[in-house]
Amino acid sequence: MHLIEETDSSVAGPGPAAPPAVQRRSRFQRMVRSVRRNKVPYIFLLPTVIGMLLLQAAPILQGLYLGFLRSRKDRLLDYLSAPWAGFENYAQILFNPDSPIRSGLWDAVRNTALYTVAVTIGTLAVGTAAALMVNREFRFRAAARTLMLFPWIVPTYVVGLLWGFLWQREAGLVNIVLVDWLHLFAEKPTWLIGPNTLWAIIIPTIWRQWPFSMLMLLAGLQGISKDVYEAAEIDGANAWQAFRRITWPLLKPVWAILILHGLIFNVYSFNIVIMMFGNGAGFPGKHGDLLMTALFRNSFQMWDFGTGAAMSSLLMLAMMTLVFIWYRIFRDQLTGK
Amino acid sequence: MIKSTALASLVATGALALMGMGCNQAAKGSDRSASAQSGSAGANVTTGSGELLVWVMPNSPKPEKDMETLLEPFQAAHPGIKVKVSVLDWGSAWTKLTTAAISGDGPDVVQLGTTWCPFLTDLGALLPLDDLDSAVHMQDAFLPNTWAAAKPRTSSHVTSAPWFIDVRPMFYRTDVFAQAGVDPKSAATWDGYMAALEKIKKAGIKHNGEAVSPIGFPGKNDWNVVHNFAPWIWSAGGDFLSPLGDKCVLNSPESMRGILFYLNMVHKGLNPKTNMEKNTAQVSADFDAGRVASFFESTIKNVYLERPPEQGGSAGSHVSGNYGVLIPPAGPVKRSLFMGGSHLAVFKSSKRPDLAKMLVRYLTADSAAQLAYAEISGFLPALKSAFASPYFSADAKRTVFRDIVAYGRCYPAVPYWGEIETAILMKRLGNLFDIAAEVNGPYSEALVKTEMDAAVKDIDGQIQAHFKNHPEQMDLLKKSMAAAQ
Repeated sequence: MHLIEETDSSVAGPGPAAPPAVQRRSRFQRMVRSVRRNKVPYIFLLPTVIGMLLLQAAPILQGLYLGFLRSRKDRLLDYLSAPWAGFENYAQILFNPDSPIRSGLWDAVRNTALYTVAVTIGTLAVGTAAALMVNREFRFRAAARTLMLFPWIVPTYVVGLLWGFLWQREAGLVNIVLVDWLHLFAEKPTWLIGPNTLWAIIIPTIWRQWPFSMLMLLAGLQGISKDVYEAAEIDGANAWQAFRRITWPLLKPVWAILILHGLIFNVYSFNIVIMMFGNGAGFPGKHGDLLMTALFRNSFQMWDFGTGAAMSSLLMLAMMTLVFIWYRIFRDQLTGK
Repeated sequence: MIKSTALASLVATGALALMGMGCNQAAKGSDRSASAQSGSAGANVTTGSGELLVWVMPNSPKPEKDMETLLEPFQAAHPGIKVKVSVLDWGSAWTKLTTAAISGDGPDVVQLGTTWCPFLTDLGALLPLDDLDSAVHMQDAFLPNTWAAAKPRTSSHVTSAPWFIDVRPMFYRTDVFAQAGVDPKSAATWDGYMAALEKIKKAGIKHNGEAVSPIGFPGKNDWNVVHNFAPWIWSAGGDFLSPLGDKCVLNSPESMRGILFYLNMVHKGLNPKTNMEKNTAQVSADFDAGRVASFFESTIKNVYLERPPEQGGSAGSHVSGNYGVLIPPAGPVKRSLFMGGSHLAVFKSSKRPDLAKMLVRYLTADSAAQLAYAEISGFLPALKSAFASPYFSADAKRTVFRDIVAYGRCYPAVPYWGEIETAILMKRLGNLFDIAAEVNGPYSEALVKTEMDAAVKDIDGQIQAHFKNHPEQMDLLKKSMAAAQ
């Protein structure tokens, strides 16, 4: 390997002074030689690369392409051979206030933003508390950890159905506990219609997702050496100081990943809300409609796949911007600087 | 190759013609053995054999097993044909059907909700069944209103055959009405029904310590939002679309009258506001538990109330011994009630279209098969002759079901109805329940009107978009309207 590198530099000429074309050729040659030398590992990697291209890149490219087609009900059988529409679908979304795709869209955007922030923060808070708890030594710790994973293994559509029953005003368990047992409210609140609808979606989502956060944070916690805490204890640090000065900074990379996961996962949330309101048939109302349910109704249920795909592409662009901002914020934690 | 195809067509045509004769005989009031014989007559002349894949929805308590029972005479008469039944969930059925239509890889025979037929016809996914129609004169054999979806208004072909129908009688508690001093006959008109509901509310009747609400119907979190509004709109002289089907008229004074009457039941507290967050199944369970005095539900509810608990029913319960059924009240203009149901169609991609048509004919045009499925599922037959059976005349409740059929009405069979119903009306009419429940402020008729104006704008936009892409269909629409008149 060392010998090859030396040979490469001799071909490339004397460093920065070498012409760019020669540099490019040199790099290419190096790459080809590297592939030749490591044929077996590259062969093993090939199925994964092909799989990734087929399963991820192909649908994304197809979705982007569909956004430029007039793929509506009358051209459904044409699929990707539908007539070319240029930027017509994008113009409909951005500049035509009467476009069906924009019906109730701003309510959905507002709800999705609130929902995403609330669920991400709530999931992290509950997950952190639970991870700190089960990181301590106590009897039946293993059983407690296993039981805590229970909400995470419940399919999201079941969560939607289940909580649809729990939120019922008269017979639902939530109101029975809050009003009949704890007397926290004078009257039973209505959850599944009106302004409380958003909470009726946020809480079950946190309930479903916190075990995942707990699992990730627990793994992070177990990666922190006990010696660090012992040293802090010797220096006189109390529990809060130990958390603030040791646990918090060392868990930041895990939080960063969890925040990213939460943002993406929650913006694209669909199952819980669609199942909670009419098992896929109903309308969650202007207080509960999310981006995905609005998009589903306004494009796919209207058989306007072209506009739906264009809207999805715009959403992907927005999410890429969000990921870029996330990376700028957490770059240091992720790169270990 | 051409010769063999022609020969096969000739044989198949002959078989179909003979099958048609058999089915006509069956439709004239024969029993199950007669229908099986007609099937064997067909089998003798049909060289076809093979497997048929049938997609149905869960229409009965044990959908797969019930279908097998229903198909026994057909299978006995056609041992060469193996019918494989797959049961789709209603929730995922539409997606699977459209995917199958687009990919061309679907079943041979498929159950379609009546509102789905025009769309799939427009898509070109269904095989024309005109020969089936001309052979057995299906249009005359079936209930008139069911035919709309069989031959959609923008199509020149018959593309499906009515299988069963779904009407919604009024189920009421005989004991509660008696306690409140209400004569059920008085609920024959809107005014009479409203007075009866107010009287029940005033009586403050309780069942097992819980208040009995005069009426129960769900809010927006439900599949039936549009179906629930339909009879009130129609009976007031209103409609969803104009007679031609090219404009929405939901904000007309007549439609508004029906909508406001229905919502008033919530506003007046006759239907508890808590029901606005429930679905049909939950309101139906409230009726079973004795908490509801009257409600409108499919005829399959009757099967549940009559069936013993070991078979999943509630026979023997207090409610099952104290309920009656009525034809829903007549409105100020007429009595016009929602009629849904399902059709059977053959996918164009079917590799055995002739066998598939034979099966469709057996299930739809055979009186005995129609009656058998009505008994199993609780839905009503689509074939007129099946109603002549003592199954309907010998039972008071089923006699009411039979009589309701005359008032049944379907949605306009236009290809754009599907998206109007699922994407626009579910949302806009659903919002009305929120207005009635006063979740965003006090109830007002002006808010209802604003919401309906928005619905009209959405729907008109959708219709215009459709005709922009299909200008030729406007002529078909006008022709079908002229023919109907």
